[in-house]
Amino acid sequence: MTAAATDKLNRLAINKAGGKMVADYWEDVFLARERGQKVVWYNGSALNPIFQAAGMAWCHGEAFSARLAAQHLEGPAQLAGSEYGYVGELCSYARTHLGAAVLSQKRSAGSANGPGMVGLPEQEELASRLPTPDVFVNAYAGCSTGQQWDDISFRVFGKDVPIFNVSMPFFWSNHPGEGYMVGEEWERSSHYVADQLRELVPFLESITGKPFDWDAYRQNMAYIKKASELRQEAMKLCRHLPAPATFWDWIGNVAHINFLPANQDLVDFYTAVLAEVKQRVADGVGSVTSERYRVYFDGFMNWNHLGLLSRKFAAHDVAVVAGRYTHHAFWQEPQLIDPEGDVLLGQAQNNLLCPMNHSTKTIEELVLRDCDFYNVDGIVFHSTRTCRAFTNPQRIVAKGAQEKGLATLFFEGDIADASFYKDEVLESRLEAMLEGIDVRRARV
Amino acid sequence: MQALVKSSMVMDKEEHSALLRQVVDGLAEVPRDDRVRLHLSGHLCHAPRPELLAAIEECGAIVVDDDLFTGTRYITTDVPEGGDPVEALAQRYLDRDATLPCPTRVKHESDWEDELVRVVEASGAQGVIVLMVRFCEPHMLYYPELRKRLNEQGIPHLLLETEHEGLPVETVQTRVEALLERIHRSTPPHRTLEVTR
Repeated sequence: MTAAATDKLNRLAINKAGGKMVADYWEDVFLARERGQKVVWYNGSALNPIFQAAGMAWCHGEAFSARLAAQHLEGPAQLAGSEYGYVGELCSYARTHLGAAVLSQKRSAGSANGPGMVGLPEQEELASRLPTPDVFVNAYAGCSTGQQWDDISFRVFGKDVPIFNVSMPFFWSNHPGEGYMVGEEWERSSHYVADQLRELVPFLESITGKPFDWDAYRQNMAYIKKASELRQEAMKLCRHLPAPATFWDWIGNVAHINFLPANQDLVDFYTAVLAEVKQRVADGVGSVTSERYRVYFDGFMNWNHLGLLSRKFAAHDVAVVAGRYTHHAFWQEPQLIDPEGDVLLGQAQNNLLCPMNHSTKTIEELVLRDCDFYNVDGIVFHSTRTCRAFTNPQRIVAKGAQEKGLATLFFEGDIADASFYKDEVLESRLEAMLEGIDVRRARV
Repeated sequence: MQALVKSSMVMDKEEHSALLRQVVDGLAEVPRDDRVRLHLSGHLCHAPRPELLAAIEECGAIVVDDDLFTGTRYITTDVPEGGDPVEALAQRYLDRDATLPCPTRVKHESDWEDELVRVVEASGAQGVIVLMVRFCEPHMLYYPELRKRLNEQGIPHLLLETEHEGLPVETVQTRVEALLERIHRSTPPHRTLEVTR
């Protein structure tokens, strides 16, 4: 990638300060045991406001794997997972996290057998810093791997650590009147999950030995609601031309809404995000300095190549304005949260609205709705090798997009395993797609 | 065995049972030979291709037990008699996960690795071939737990990743032959009067 190409990317400046918040959070987690805090490992749904109110430290499995991959530090954890017996086609989030679990357990037991490769011991140091868990809580929507992942972590740790499973129903939307946030299935599932979360509270109390702080929980949810509203408002402003921020910017601050502590700092951060986006709109400043095309991103994030991908698209004057991963998850329906009322219901409903937890028909409707709203030229599909749940509906969604006259492109990659990505393939397909858009425009 | 179980999945039960009785009546005891006795484990949702089973046997092995979906896993647990038939069928699914644990179920009544070691010892199998269908996440997640226990027990084993379509027979045979060679080197050949049916 040339220097000129790199210059075309104009990232949100506020994300730099946001990066420190994330680093501070993880340092805090790594030192939880020293503070005498109980540690919970969880996957999938953002149950952290509950853990926070229970006075626990929380480690989100995917988040840790994503962080390792984004920092190019995933090697030792994946190697440890491979040595333990996980094959390469297994979800690389799970494989990386389980490898980190093996390393964490080894560190806890005082074993110092490193991988024996130059540079890896230092990386292994970070991968093994996760504090060992006092409890597992699993609440994964739309992904059977996620539902089994914590059970395997439970086994890796010798079946001695208590585990709580929350069953998250899939939204089939098979009957008339059922769909996104409507219908009997939606109502039934919402209450089914809320009831389980109510049972989770006394379970956590039995772990911590302290009463659950309901007032703190309601306050946490109020912060989350406000932060999400700010984030949503800022995202929607990317409808403007040029787009003041892109999918890559929303990736850059997704950790905050997903798992950082719910507090005033979180609200202040997204207030600053919104302010910067508004200022850019007022000044006519884009996140890509010479935006000529705008596309939608469907697929899980390719954490290993975040920088490369953001620069590549900008180099081709492409603003990736929105995506299923960033826009259909992470408390994206804040109006459902009622901090003064049935607060667990709003939590359960947002947890259920995972972008993989809908029928293909619903996913297609949501993606195409976004494509209309952001007025995109096409959709880039990241065919995420080890995430079958995200990838399964993509061909059908692509067909629907093509029928609406949108250009589509598929490229292969993965969430956290760098080896599945082939840069030349994306490069040539992207050029072909943009040429096609040019031809279409010329005809009009 | 595969043909018997697979046919029972689709045939009328009464008709199948009558034919099965004829098969059982026609069985004769045979002296145990020097073929290596193997246990087949895995394939949680579909049948191994017949060519795969043939390739294993052509290497000089005999499959003496299994926990395959189209094998022991299907017949290991009976439907409770009496009561509501639908509830009985549901109960059978729950019971089966206790008698032969399946990693898709996330249950803790029993553990697959314990059951695997128990049946391997009971059948006298000298090794285990794990058949893993590519992209089967529950199996990929659970396999290291099986591997760990088999290693602890000193039971030789081989992981074969398979596809729904196609089979690289030569590759499979080379790998199975290597497993058998390993077993031959570590255990003396059986020349007892033990019989197998």
